[in-house]
Amino acid sequence: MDDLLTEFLAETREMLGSISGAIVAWEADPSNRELLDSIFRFVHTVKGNCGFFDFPRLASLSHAAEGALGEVRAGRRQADPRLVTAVLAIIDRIAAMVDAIEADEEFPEGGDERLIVALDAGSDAVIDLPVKTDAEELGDGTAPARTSVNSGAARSIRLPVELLDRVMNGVSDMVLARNDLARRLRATEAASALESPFERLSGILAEVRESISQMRMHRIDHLYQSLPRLVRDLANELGKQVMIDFEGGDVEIDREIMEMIRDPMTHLLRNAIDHGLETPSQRIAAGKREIGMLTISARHSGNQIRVSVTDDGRGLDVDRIVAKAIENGLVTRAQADAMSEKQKLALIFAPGLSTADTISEISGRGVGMDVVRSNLERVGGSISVTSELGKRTTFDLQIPLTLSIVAGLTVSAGEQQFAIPQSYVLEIVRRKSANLRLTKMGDSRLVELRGKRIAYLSLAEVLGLEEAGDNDTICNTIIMLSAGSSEQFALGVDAIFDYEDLVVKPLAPAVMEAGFYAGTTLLENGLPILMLDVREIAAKSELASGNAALAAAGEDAHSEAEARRAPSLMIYRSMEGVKCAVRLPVIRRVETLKRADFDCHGEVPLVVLGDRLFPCLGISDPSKLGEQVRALRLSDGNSELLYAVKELIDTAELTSHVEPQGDSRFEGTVLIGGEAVRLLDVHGLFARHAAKMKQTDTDRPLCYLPDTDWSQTILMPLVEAAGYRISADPDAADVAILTEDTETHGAAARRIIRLRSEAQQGEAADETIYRYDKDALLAALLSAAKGAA
Amino acid sequence: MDETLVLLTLAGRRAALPASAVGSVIEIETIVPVPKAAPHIAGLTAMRSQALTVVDCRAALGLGSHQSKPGDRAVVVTVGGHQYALLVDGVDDVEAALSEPRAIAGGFGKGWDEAAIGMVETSGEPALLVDPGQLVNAKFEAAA
Repeated sequence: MDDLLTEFLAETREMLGSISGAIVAWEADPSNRELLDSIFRFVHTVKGNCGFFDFPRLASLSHAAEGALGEVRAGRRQADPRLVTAVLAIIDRIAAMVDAIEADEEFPEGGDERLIVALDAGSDAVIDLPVKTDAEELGDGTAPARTSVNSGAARSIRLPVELLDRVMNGVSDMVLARNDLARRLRATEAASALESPFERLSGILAEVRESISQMRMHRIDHLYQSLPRLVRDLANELGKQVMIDFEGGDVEIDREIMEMIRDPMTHLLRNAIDHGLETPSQRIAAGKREIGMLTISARHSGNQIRVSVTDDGRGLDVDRIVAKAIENGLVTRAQADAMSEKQKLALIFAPGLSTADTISEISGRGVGMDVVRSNLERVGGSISVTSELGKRTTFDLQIPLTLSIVAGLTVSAGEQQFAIPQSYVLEIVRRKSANLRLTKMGDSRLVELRGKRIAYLSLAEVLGLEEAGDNDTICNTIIMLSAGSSEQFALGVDAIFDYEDLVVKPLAPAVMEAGFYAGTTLLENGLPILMLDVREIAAKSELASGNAALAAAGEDAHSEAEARRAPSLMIYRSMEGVKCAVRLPVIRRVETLKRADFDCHGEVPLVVLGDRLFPCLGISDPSKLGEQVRALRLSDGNSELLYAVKELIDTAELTSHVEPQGDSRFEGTVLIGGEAVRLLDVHGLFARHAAKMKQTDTDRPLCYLPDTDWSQTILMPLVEAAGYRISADPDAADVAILTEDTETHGAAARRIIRLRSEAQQGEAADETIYRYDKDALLAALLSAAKGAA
Repeated sequence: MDETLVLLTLAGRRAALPASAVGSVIEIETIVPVPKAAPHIAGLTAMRSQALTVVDCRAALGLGSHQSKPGDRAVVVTVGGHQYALLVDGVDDVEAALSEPRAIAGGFGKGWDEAAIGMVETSGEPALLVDPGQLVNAKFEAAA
């Protein structure tokens, strides 16, 4: 059902609920003005809302009642009991109709006129049907409709957003409390006994958190709904013909974020209609359809939502944008010449370009685009633009899914830890990397990486944790951060710890005042940690949205072509101790794995990471794994796998050609700094292993569980996490798990795992697993999965 | 006035907070400093898996700074929806106020005037009733 309609029904029902008391009271005291007003408001609202939908009967009923009540309000008529009865009959009829609409059923024809006539002052038509019999008389039509509403259609209730936020905060606090508990559990000896209930608690909590997040989600349709009207009005005003098309209305987005992107979206549409689209005559002259097309589409892309706004208008004139930027002193001619097409287009987001006359001169987008961009960036989003002159302009918005849980990188500087939102992190480089060079420019420092020169800041110095003395050195680890759509800077930190999902809490105003922090969260060790506000740090050092950034952008364009020619490599030492290389873009991140997370029973070791299983390659002898294993998480865009390494050495550019060699695991040998290094064949790696692991839902093996509470609530999450689907049919399942008290009818399954309820094994021959022996159970499931696959 | 007071030693003086404003009294284990924050913001600390902002009351009054050590007592208050831990010299007692807070001739002195609500009588010596909101935001507002 249409969302708008659902909302209308919910609102009407809610009002009916709240005026039901007023109706009864009014009946007793028809002269009470307040009661009259509230009933008048109800029919008035219903009438107004009906206008949006095709409900002529609802509309005429509410219109008639409104008219009669209006007379009374104006003092032209007395509220006599007959009028009261007539109005109440109409309200009942409205309620019954709303029920029928909600149940998607036909409301029985007829009867409306009689109710309407009964309102007339002179009418002697008698409503002889009291409320209840009225409904009964309508009879078979309405009564079942009511029941089906209750049982069938999804019911909804309206809640204040603050309440949802409170619940959400409560759940976030629970997550933190659980982390605290986990930390304390590890320190006690009772840990093993508490492990299962604790795991269960964690599982439930994760589910609840998921559902709560969904509660906050709203279909982006809600945003779309308000737009056609805006477009229509603007188009009329400007003498243009515009059609608007929406895609991906079912994409869900946090309601808070939706409110925050409403203004930027409106602005983009306004600009598109005002400046992007031509007048009908211009369009015909250009050989286009008379009617301009606006397309808005939304889709999920990883942890973000991408919304694009496209018009098929005249496009952006790059030369004029550049000319304007030079005229306004944003860039110099030389800088502009060095810029790529994309960077030139991005100038429309620069704050200085928004002068009034640019609106008409350039194809317009100047006005307020900097505001649009900063609004988006405030919620962690970004915007970019592409255009074909004379054909179209597309704005791409990237918006985070939620505000409260942020993927973050934890780093240390000056003996203190901080978190950086992962969305800002472009790349991490070691100081010793051969690619990295430090340049001093006066008191400023620039680092040069693969031909790009980027402004450098030391986090410890920015925060005053260290003296900003000698600028000959830089920190051990340098994080390349994006401070805005096309602005970058390098931040030096002492060390990097981990990637984590952080539940970010707002900071007290006195702390926010410092201006460097966006929030706080608790680490697993229970200590609070500050989340850095990357944009503020850049802005405070005048690195973003200023000339420095634009100058840096110029540099970057200068060497971009060069950088593109030389692919980047990550040099590592393999588990056998051999120096190897892998192409950098396929690395998603570096994971530190625990020995305990490995399952080495099969041909390829499997690793549990989060709630997924990954094959871990690059291990020749699983028995020699250390307590901690570093692994590269490689991605081909669709699937991911892990590749264990002994250590990471450096990044480098691939300047030599690849000399093929015999070993099929490698693309060949390359020369890095005069040394022969083997280049890992990632393509082959994914070809061999990705197919096996990229399991869609249907090719996950089926597992049958006995129909007991214990199995369904405790066993099921474990089995699902091990990559199984649950089947109710023991004979079709690949694996059947049986307990002592279930029958043996699962025997048709290819494999059977038997559980026993006693910790101690009875007989040696009895091949059962104690039902709380998670490790053994997981191992059995994993080996069965391999058998099934 | 039948308000209950939490009696404190604050910057070496006998002071009190309304008990209704005090959530709990905690011992501070670790304070994570907030670089570049106002001087009276000692840092963040964790209480029952929540982050609290630790306020150095001495600094908030403009009377130097608290030499914090593990085990320091702090009074947890909520101001404007945020929780703060007010670092004090000591938490002494909980008592009923025996009078309305009132001003004294000549004021309470530099720093104290801003934060003070007034003098209240207790069963022992009188105490200076302070406003937690002023302690938390004193510097903040002065700077703004």
